[in-house]
Amino acid sequence: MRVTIYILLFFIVGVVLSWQGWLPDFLLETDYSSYALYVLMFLVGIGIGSDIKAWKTIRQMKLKVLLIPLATIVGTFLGMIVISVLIPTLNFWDAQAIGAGYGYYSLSSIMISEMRTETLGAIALVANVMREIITLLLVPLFARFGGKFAPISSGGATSMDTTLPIIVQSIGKEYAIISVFHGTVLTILVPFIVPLFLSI
Amino acid sequence: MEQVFLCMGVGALLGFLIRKRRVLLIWVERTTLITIFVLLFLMGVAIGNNTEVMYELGNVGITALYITIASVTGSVIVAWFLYRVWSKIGK
Repeated sequence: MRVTIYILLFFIVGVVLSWQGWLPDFLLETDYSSYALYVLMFLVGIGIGSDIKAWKTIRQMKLKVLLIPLATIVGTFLGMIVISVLIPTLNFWDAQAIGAGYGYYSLSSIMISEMRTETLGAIALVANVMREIITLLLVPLFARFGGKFAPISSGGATSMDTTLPIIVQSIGKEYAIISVFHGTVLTILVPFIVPLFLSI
Repeated sequence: MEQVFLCMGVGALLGFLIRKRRVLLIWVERTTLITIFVLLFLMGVAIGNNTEVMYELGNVGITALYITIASVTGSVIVAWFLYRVWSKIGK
């Protein structure tokens, strides 16, 4: 949660400084962010390739456990179909890309802002941060009425770290590994699915 | 988009090669976080500099809220369904 607050602070400070016109012109004129995105993707790649623990977690799981992150992907996709009907101004695949952040707000919002517009990036940032917050608040409710997988699925990519404690508290310690697995799979998939949806 | 995948692919390969270099990986992690901070700051700068978007911020928030509600609801429903099927087959 602390990192979330820092990230939002950087974003908000950027908005305020430039809105007030307190920034030097060169920051506004040149667009550095596409190069920064490439650097970030390279670093994210290193993170994925070197994460022995994540790959071990994935290998140890039975194949059918993959159905849980798949349920999250399908459920989010269906939800975004509804959204693109309710908000006709929002492009269908743009909506899908925002949904495909699965709570991984930093990476998904940066990619969307870079490959589409800053406005869509901002929507992705807020929407995916809210996914984490709503999960933290509603997991007990989901656990009560939605079975053991609903709280994990709600957390999306965050089910491996920020929302893991509350999920485990609500559905039991024996589901901790599944929750970590679910979050790990989605975290690895986000940098693939978001650009995929944006390129359709 | 190809560049994005290319950068990530090269990174993943390099990451696999240096997977045992703990100290180096800690630095990678730190640099990643700093890059994210910088990029979100720049995203904020771009938005603050765009008058049109600034007057639309309320809309951004509301759209985001709808998207969150829809994606969480969809996920929870499909996960609930999967859990029901799962428990029945298990018995």
